[in-house]
Amino acid sequence: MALLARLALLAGGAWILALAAVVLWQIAIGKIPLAGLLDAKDTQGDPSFSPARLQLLIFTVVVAAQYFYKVFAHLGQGSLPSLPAGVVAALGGSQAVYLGGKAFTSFIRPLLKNLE
Amino acid sequence: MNDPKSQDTWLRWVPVVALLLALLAVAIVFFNLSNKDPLERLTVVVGYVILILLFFFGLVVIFALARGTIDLSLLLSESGGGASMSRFQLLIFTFVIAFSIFLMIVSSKPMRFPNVPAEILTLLGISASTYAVSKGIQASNPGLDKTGKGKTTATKVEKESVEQTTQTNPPGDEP
Repeated sequence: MALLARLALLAGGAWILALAAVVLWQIAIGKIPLAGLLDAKDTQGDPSFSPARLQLLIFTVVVAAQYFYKVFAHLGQGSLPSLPAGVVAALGGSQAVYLGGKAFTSFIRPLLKNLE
Repeated sequence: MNDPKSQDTWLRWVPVVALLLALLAVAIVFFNLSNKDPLERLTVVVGYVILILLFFFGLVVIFALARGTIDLSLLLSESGGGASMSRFQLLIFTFVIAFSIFLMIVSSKPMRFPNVPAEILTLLGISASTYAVSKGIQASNPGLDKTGKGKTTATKVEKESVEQTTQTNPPGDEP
């Protein structure tokens, strides 16, 4: 049974690694395009640089990197390390800013244009 | 390389290899666990067979992803073109949490599934909710569709139906 559990773990780990490798490889060669990741579109469909997206990208990378570091520091403890409530709140705020910016571009800006 | 026939030839061997491995597992259990009771032996054999099946399903999916048979090109795309920040974030968090869980299982002795704190579930929940709300905003504002394909198609269909109506009932033929 122990051998079966080890094999299952090995197969699962190899599958996750292979999936991540395929996705990363396709992003690297441009098959999964990242163009326009930091651009927001106005109601006419014209893209422009979006600071809301940039801050969300920064928050995402920082939180993910910090969490990965914590995982390596907590190896062998039997429980995933938790995130401080402040970090979760900050990420929630960051998402709110991103969604607010998107909603503004989609709904409020056209209204303001119509009022002019 | 992308010839579907060559891919089919390769895939035909997968069930054969899976069957051979399953037989090997049965043999291992038969010789190693001969002193255990039959129910326990059956449990182990079923475990091996399920593992082999899942492994080959996973292998086929990974090969299909790598060869492009399963198209991933729109994995991070928004409906109006361009990459989606919320999808990208969900992808990053999913991989980070998956790797973390894997590392925790490997490092714990004895191996066991780690406890997942509420903050991590909240983090994934926030990320997934953002994706859902972002999709909702897009869906409620078709003007964001840069390509305007939907509109063009609709206009074409409308035009065609008007033309057909005009041809069947020319203006002069009206009673």
